[in-house]
Amino acid sequence: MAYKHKWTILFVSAALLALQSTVSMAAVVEMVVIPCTPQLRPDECGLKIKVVQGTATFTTTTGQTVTVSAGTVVTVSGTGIVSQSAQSGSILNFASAATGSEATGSIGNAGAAGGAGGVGGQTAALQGGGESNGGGGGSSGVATGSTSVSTGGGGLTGGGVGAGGGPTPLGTGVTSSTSP
Amino acid sequence: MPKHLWASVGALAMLFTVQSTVSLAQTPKIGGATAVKNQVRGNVGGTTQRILKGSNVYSDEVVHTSAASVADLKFLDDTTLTVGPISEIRLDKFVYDPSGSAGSVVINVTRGAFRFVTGKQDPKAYQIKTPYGTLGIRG
Repeated sequence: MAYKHKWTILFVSAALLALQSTVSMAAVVEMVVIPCTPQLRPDECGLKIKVVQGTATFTTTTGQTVTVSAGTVVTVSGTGIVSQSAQSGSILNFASAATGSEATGSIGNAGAAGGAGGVGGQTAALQGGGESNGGGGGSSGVATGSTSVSTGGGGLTGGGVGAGGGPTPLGTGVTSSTSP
Repeated sequence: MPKHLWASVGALAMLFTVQSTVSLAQTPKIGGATAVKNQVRGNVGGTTQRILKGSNVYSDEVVHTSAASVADLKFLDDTTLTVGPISEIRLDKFVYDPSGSAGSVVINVTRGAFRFVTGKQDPKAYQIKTPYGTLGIRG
């Protein structure tokens, strides 16, 4: 009887171990990179990373290391300031090519426009935290141009952040529309 | 004379084709595009090719997406990379041995936006480089 129990325990343990190995989940990371160029102000460029699943460490070019856990967003401004915040939605304003839709809409109400906006939309997402106004930037990005990061910047000033006025992890919070 | 001209043109075209094939053959295939929306290009070994659904992607390839364009890439280790509009990434390093020995995947993001899902390898094998620093997956 005792032996039977022993085997049962061993069997269950092995099954649990196997299950754990199978369940071991992939890490999921979203990232927006806007390189600083002479055409962009330091607050218009930077990096935004969201770890959706798993954990990661980010090491800046100056050697500062930050651990990023699931649900956390790390933002590095154009001047190198690193900040962290929690964010529930996606920081991206496009869907995968397989889905065929313009945008996920998960960034906020204006997200659909952001999908077409490309870097313009992502610029706004970077600036605005992506919760409420990221997509708007994208919409303007389409209107003002669509082939370079600097035109994406036009998206930022044209509508995204100006319209939304949401939280600004990078600090400045552009709130007025300055694009043509 | 025109015959010669045609021969020259034919030879040049053949050389160009051979060169393209050789440059692609020199870099190992590391995966492919599972879906593509609009204009996506890949540059490998100095040769630029349009990336379509089903196209291969190679080590050291630089992938560019145009406005309103998205590429879904899947690598041999089942890593997936969705590259958003107006982005540029380089597939710097891809080492994967299905038998389980240590591999390494390094992606260099120059600009743009993307979503990255790790594949079958140890999470620590994955690294994403950006102009602002390097992200290493831990688990």
